[in-house]
Amino acid sequence: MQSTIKELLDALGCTLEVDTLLDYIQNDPNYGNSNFSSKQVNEYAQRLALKASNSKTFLKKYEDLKSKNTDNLSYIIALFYKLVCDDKKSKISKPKVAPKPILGDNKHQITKEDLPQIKDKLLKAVDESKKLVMKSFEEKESKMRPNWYSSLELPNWQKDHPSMSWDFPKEPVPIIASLAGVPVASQENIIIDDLLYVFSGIPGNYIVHQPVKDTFDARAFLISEDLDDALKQIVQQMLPLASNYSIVRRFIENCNMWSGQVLHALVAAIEILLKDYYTMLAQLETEAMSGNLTLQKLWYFVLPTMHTMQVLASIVSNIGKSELRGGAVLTVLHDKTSTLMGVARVQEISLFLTERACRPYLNILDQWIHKGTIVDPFQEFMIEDNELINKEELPVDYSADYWEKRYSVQKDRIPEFLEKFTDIILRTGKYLNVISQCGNAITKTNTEEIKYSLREQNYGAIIQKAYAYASKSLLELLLKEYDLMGRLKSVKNYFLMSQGDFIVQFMDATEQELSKKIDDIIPSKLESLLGLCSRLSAASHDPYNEDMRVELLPYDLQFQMFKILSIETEDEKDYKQNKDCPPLTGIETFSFGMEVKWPVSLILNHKAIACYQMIFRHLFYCKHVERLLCRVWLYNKVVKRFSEARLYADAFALRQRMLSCIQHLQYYMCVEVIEPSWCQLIQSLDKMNKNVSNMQFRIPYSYLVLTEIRSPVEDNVYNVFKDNTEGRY
Amino acid sequence: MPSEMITLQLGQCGNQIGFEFWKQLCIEHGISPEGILEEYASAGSDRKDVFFYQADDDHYIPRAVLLDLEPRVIHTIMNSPYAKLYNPENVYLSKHGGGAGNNWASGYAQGEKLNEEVFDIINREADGSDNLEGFVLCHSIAGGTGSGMGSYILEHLSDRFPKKLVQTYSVFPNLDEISDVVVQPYNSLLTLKRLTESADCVMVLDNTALNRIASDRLHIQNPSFAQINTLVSTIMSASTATLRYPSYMNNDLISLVAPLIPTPRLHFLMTGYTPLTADHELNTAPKIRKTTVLDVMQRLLQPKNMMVSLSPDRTNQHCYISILNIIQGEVDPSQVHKSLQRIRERKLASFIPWGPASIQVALSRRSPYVHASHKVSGLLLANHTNISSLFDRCLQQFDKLRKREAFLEVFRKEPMFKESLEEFDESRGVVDDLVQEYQAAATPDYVHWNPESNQI
Repeated sequence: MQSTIKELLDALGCTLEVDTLLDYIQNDPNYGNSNFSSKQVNEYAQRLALKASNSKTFLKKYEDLKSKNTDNLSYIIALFYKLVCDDKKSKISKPKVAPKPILGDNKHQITKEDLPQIKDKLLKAVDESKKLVMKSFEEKESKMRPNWYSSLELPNWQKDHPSMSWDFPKEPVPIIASLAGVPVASQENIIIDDLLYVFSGIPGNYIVHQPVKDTFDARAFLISEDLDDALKQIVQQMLPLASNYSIVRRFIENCNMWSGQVLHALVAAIEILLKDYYTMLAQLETEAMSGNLTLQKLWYFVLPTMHTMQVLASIVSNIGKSELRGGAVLTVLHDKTSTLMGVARVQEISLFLTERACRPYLNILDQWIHKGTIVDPFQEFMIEDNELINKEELPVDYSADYWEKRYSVQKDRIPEFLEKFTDIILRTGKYLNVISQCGNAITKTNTEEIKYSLREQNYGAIIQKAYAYASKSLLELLLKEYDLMGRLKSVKNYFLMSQGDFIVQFMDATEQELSKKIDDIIPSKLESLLGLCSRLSAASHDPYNEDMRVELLPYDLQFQMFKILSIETEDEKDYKQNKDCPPLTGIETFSFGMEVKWPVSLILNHKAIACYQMIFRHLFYCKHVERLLCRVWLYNKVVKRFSEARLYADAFALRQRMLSCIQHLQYYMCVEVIEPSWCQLIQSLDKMNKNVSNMQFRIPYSYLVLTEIRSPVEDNVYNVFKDNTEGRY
Repeated sequence: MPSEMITLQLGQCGNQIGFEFWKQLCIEHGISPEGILEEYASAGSDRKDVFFYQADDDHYIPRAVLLDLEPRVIHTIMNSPYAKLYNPENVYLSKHGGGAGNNWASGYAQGEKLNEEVFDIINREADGSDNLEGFVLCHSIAGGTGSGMGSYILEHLSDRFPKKLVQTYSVFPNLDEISDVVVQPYNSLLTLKRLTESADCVMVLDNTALNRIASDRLHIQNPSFAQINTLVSTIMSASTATLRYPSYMNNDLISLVAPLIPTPRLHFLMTGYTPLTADHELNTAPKIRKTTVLDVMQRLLQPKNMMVSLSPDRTNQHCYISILNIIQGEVDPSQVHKSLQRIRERKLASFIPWGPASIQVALSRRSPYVHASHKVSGLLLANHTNISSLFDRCLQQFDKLRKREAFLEVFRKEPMFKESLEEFDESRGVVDDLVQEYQAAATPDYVHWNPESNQI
């Protein structure tokens, strides 16, 4: 797709960047389901050509691409048309697709004078990133290919020895012999002999081939002028067989070492078919020698073969023209096979080809879904391993990245018939990988071979089975060996404050420290207090209390929330600006941290922990306010000895309302939100929910929603609380 | 260890209640009468250290101080299987051993005399805990030791530990029967003054109501002290359940008590508990009763389940100042939510007009070692303005005696009343003020009280 766009752009002489367009296309919701009639597209192309700097080259390119059946050509043309002809649209789409940071300050209105500058900037940035990408790609390539690759010199047989080809020679051969004066009866025998040569790719005496311009063009033939007209007619009818054979042959010979396993397999399968073809030719020749073969008979014999060969040629030219490889080849084959439903014989052949061509691909798939490894020397498989080789380069949130980025799906390499399984195929291998990274051997349970068939149940069932096995064993591994439950419980104890006595104790102990400004706090002191408290409280039963850490975040929860929500209205601005003024106190910045080891860190990754931290900070602050109010209550209690105690009743009632509010809020959050969601989570885990990857989101999500919704309301409450409680001392 | 509580047991009644309380706690925490942790309880996630501490040999010792002026009850305790549980240094018996003779003044005077020794024990206990949250005082207000000595200790506790919470479980005398203690009204009134001014939170346990519940609800004719005290210990253990079984909220006493007591003087709380089962019922065919959260919460609001007997509210002016329900057992939070809604819809509880009008709920786990025949049980802690009627009755009885100047001789013997009987009038004034404040609390004007306009 990228190359298509590039070619078209070059032809158009347009200044747009391929990447930006691609970005735009991928963001376009209409992509893929746009249906343009070919007529409409042609019209677009014509109009585009008028605008293009070099209209002829553009049109030529267009025709060229069209003949290659390039994917989405019509869509791209339509888009171009819109971009170029519709000025308005282009203005909108351009800033939309432009990467923001390069533009710098986007508060400025983009004026016309700025445009060239911006363009320069864009080009520069794109160039740089391209270079980077290319470099990394080359590095990867060189890493992947064995050392001998660069030094390997493969003989170029076809160039050095043109006659080794099974196709017609490159150079045309003139008709040397003449049939003039030969009687019609003899002409028939001679021409049968010649035809049999031509069918097997050898120029005859009276029928010779014409050179072809492009690899997959149909081949024309020259027939001797002297041949009888009646015979000529029949010969003309049969010559497409030779032409198609030539196409198939050229396709086979075009395929080289780097074409990939799928193409290799396909070519091998075609060779098997061609063997039958040669056998047929040999039999026909025998017939001819014994003098039993007439041109009519020959026509009768080759007729079915002609049809087959035509289908074969159309398949290979389809593949060859668009230079497909890997999974895309299989898509074409699969399509062809399904569309040929009606014609049993041809479908059989197509099915045969598809099945053979699929074998190497499905072997890779088999390895992937049963062992979690990718053996894909030619980069044909739909999943790519982006593993970082150097352990030193491991980023901090390796686990998060691992899950998200290590294996990526290459959309263009997915065969159509596997498309709906893409997701589970990806996950199956990923799960297996995690298991093997934990040092557990994967016992392959499946001995059934994945085989292509028109009905997807056959391979679908195997994939589903493998997926079920992988996810189940991963979940078991996590739950049993790595005690995910214990981990989660510990998360609940600390971050969700279900270990209330610990929190109370901790708050008592750290009260002084946390009331300081953030710069004055000594983290190591907090750390030691945390250790002390967790040993003394009932939390000492928690096996993971050693993994708890103290974190002081340089921003407060409100700020964090608004960052996430990024609401840019006037009202919210107040909150943001206010926050910069007073330095934060310990209470506002404090949060727990947790060290989680691989592979539990896959689920409790940084993102999840961060979510829990947000919830924790919210709860912690509520608790803090509650404690302040209770403290006020304690200070107030002396009043009862004074006879004027009732003078303060108004103030007491206010305190009471605040206390009641904060306690109800806490009750709501803890008992009505956190606890039920927790129970839900446990239940779903107990049911051995297969969807491991969703699990990591499920835990924090509902709470997050809660916190997000409530916090704006609470901020006001907080402030009121703060003012009041402080005023009272 | 945060929020430790020290229990002070005073007098005959106080020690009996305390004894039952510790018995109950031991069962709930899986601690044997000798203070040794039972094997099945070793991995508990409960917090025993709120009420116990561990000796060098790992056995659990209650943070309890046992005080009495006469040896009978303490001797009974020391002869029971639980004798080894207590720290013998914390058991203080007056050497003179004669008791207070049901005389408040005598108890108060003896408390003054024994001041040093008693507070030595209390200070030692307080120093021994890391982060003491407060004291729990068990006593009756009618007798001599519990009321008199209790009053003295109360006054000095709040002086010595001004930042600590002082909670009392005070047993009010049975007003239906004619008591053998004739000076009971005097004792009650004098103690009430101290409870008003020195205690932070008084759990009112009314013997009248306790007897009524025992006979009506549990079908025990002539309930014994032990049976009544079981009721009390049930309440005591349930009200501390959230401290001992930590969860999200209410993990210290103050967070339980503070929302119940909006203004410092109105700190007399009523309790209710349901469902109640007596021991003898468990043995016979147990009544199978469905307990749902709604059921429990509704029952708790019924006056007949209240452990305080109040005179009927004829003017219908009285209302709740605050309510806290501690629900134990298998509870679905959504049920609680629904129940609260139902109660609000049916207007089962009316609240003061000047405060947050809602029932607070605290969910708590139950001890895993005690078999409960009910799925859900609930304790109600409520601050109700009608509790003033109880004080009003005390006042009336006091007035009756005082008018006749009856039985004042015993008081005159003690130094406090030698000069004058001013203390009586002062106490009466305080209690009367309290009654009026409670009545005022039912009106919306309470918070805008102005001494000039309201002065009589």
